[in-house]
Amino acid sequence: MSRTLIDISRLGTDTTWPSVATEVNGYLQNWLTAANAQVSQHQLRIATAPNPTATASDPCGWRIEATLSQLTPGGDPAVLLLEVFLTGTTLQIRPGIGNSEPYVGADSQQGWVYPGADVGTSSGAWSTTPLPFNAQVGWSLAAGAEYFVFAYSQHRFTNRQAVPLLIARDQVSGHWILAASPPSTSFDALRAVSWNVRSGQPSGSRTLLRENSFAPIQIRRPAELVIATTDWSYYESANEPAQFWEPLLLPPDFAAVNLSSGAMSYFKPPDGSEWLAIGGHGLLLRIKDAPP
Amino acid sequence: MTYQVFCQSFAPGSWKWTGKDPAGVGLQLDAAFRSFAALVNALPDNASTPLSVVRSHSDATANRWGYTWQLGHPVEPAHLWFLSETTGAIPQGDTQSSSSAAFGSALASTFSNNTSNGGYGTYSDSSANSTGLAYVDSTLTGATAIGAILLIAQDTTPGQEFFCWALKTHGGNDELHRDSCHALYKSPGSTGWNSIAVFPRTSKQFYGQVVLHGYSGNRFGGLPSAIGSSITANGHQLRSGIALGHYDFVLQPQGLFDSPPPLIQLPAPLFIGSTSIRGASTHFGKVTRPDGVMLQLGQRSSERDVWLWVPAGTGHNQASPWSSALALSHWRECNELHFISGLPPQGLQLITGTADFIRHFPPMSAMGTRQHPQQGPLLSNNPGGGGGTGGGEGGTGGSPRPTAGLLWPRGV
Repeated sequence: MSRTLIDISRLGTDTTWPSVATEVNGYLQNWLTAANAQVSQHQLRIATAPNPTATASDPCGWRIEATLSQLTPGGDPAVLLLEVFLTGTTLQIRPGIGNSEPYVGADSQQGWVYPGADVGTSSGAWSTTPLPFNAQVGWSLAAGAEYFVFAYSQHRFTNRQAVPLLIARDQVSGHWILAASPPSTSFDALRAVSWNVRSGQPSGSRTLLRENSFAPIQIRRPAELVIATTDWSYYESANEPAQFWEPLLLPPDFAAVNLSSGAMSYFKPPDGSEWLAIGGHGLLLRIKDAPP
Repeated sequence: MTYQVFCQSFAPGSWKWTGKDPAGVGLQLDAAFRSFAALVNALPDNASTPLSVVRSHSDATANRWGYTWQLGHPVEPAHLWFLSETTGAIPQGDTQSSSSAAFGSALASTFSNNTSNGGYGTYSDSSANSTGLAYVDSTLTGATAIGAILLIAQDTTPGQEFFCWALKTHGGNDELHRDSCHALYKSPGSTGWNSIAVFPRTSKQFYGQVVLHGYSGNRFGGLPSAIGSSITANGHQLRSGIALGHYDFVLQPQGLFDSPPPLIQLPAPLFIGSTSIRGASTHFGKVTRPDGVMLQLGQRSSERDVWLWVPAGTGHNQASPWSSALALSHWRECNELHFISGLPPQGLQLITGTADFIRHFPPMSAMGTRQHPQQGPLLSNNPGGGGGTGGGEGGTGGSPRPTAGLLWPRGV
């Protein structure tokens, strides 16, 4: 079995974010151990796990790190960061890079190093009032197409639909992609970080590649992240040379649909495949393959 | 030498669009196109899609300039044209609002082969992108210092057929330049020729646009652009590997909704995007890499600039006066640009935009949930029935949902 999908939807009257996040973290730890053994050239780590006893005002969520075999220009393994924390009513996504050398002027006041000026934080408002919610956890250890995804939806509008965790292998570089999308109606609220082999720099994204509204509603594969890491880089000071980039592609169990506000929608296109919409930004997870 | 890039220079003060000199811009372009058409028409796979010249510069009456090309097709042959807009005095475009040339299309079946319309014939049904181009040449007062370069890139490799011309001007005031390009290309899995024309938006040319034509199934028409959604709008990013979609009202009458043709892939050598900020030269930009050179076909523009990838070793076998484009002294090395390559899309499935409970099951409605392939089974008193949440082949078997505390959907 290469793919698992678990529905952890709840009535919500006595369920809080810390308990959901802690439950998800259990699945994440198991998957991550297996993924690290299988993808030994890159190592994932849960630097901070959800605090099960977090109060309503405590930050509760994850800090995930991925140490890649790719070296930075300074000669150290590149480190990708992703922070996803619910604090009060704000779910904040923070993508980052663990290697600051030899960045110039690239960090925030808190010392955080974003993958690009265009790929800073993203956040959405979250209700902490116990509510019924749909939540799904999925993962795969298919070689080369490993992923872990956690999607959470409080109601059917995009301002309460999120994909708090998406960890997947880039189909071009083989590096990990760390991504998340907050509950937000902004079409480009997603944040992703990976590392580009060709330009030797962090690679970031804030949206899935989706057709515009003039096109028919379509399920498009592969799911591609539009690269946005272009405003500055290792060459911030001046005259950065022209850079060449490869695309960022999610594993084949994902697709993009140009329809929002559809978490938990289920699609059965004519080829016989079946897809579940997760989050509010058009990401689809394949439930069933097209028959050969 | 299947992929070739070559160019010709026209001296300031003497060249003009409307000239009928066989050595002039118009007829040199015509000759280059005819020679490309002869090569690709001879390929077996192009037997049903021959390219031909319907009108050329030499057919123009009065001050007209332009060409009409036929895209051969077994069902719907089509015409594309690029013409100066009136048969009267040439209104060269030197303001944002004036447009002096039109880019248009029609089905070949709507064509009346006559000498009206400045020699170009008439159509009973056509569409024009008349905002296409505000051009200038060295006959315009104040522009006599402007020289021109006609650049051709072509590929005659079966399956990758590509013909692209770009007219670049140099000298004089920067505001007088209107560098633009038009390309025909084939896309894997689709029958027929597709077209892309790129007209930059500049301070003196308001209507920057990319005009896309091609075949969705057997129907010719405009194609929806995925260019905007393929790049992030930060002003110095260009990319290739963009795949254009189809319109459902074009596919549905052909019965192609359930089996849409492959997306149209823009030609791989073209990088399209925005160069409104940072490193791009106004025009004549160049980026040198170990494995080739990127050349700016368009000019600095927020929508859209276009660059051409010329791999190392690319040459041409054209006789003089054609010469190597790389040998021109006008190119200026650029930095602070980002070139992103893409991969061809693997698959496209169309679905209805509204809930129909056959293809598209929305969540959180009683009917939708009952019919939902995943949620529906949970409503029955059949724990684990259907492996509702099991995830396709090799699912988890029974339902792993908690047995208590569930709100949605629940079976009572």
